[in-house]
Amino acid sequence: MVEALITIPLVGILGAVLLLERRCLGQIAFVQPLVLCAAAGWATGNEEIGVWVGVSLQLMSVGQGHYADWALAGYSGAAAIWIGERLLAVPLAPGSPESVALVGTAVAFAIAARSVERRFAMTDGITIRSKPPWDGANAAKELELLTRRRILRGWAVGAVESLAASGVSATAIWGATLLSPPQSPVDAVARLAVPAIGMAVALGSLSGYRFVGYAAAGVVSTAAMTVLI
Amino acid sequence: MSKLSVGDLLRVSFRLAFLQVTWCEGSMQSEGLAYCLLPGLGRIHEDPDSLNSSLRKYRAPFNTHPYMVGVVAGSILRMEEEGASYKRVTSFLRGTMGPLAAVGDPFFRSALAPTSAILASLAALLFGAIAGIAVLLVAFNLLHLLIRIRGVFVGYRDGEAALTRVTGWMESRRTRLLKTAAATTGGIFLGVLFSDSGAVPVHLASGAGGAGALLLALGLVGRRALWVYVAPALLAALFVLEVVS
Repeated sequence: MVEALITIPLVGILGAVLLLERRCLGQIAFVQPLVLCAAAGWATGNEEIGVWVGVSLQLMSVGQGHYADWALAGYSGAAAIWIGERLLAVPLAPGSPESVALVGTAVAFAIAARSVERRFAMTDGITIRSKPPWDGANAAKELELLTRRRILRGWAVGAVESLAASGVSATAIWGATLLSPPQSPVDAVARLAVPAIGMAVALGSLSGYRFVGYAAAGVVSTAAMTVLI
Repeated sequence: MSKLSVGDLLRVSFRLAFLQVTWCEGSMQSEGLAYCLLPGLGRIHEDPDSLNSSLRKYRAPFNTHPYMVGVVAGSILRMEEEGASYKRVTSFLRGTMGPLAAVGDPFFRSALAPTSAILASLAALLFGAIAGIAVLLVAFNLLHLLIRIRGVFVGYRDGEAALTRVTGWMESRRTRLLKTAAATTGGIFLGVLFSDSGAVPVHLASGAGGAGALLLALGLVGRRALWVYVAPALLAALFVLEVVS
């Protein structure tokens, strides 16, 4: 109970700081899914799940910055690993329904968060057009203020998004525990298929080809593997 | 005589990290670029009115690859120091954003990001979490931070001529080399992934891996360029599986 009371605000505070990386502090430089999830796995003593989730999300993120917010995906994945292992006491294994639910929720939230980001970019454009910082008597001060306001907003949005995404991912883990059988032959397929889909996405990005090719390749190769096994 | 010190240029370099914080539809990076330039412009235009009128040169929409803005910032500071007119600065910005994005996007997004992600994934799979984290952070950040920060200094030293120099660092031959390395490492990753799994016998894993890669290629029919990257990936995957079996 005490650990839960500490963890929840900590997830929000850490998320507020780390998710700033989406707009500043380097952009896709430090807050990456592999870094966050592998660190979370290492910290909880289940390195295998951290690497599996981190590698899968990292590979899926390559070249897909326009479609989803991968910093949030990585962060919510890492937070859910921590919550699942430490608070819910669910032993997460690569390919298990719990871990697949975790990855799926992280990706879904990443796509939703990108839509929120687009909305902000649109409303910010309207604000800037109605009151350009350049027109004031002290344009330099206006620009400084504008940047600080955006950073503060980034903190607030990051905190809310990280809490929501981590909470839903943790709930998905819990839900999967209740609904799924303890051991399923599909686990072995998912264990290979999820990172393999990630690799298909990463290799596809080399040619600049997007989305449909990956989805098709991922789905069909997963189906082919299921039949083969 | 240069007005800006190394400290001023480092302050501009640091602010490049905040370039995208004010990104919005319409003006895009223009507010961010002006914010990055402020420490340098403030030193060049000590009179507040002169600074204000100088800042208005950056109100036109500007957007390019964020990692390429270092050289733009450096070149602009040199131009400002030489007393460049409104027209010269705006023409420079308008003329550079497209070509810089055309060089930066293929290099960073389609070559460096996949290469470092795939290398790090392989390192994590083979040597554990810490190795994966270290490889990713070093492989990606070293190069892009170098290009960003060095770009400011080279831009300030050489002015507009610096663009050719900096874009030369990312010439297409190097981009292709990185992509081929990524594809080969990707194949090794798939080979290791399938052969490491106790659930799948090696011959089945080999077949599934090959089928997956083939399907990926079939999904991209008509894009012959992909074969350049799929072929090394397939060969590397098969090589690893052969060695393991």
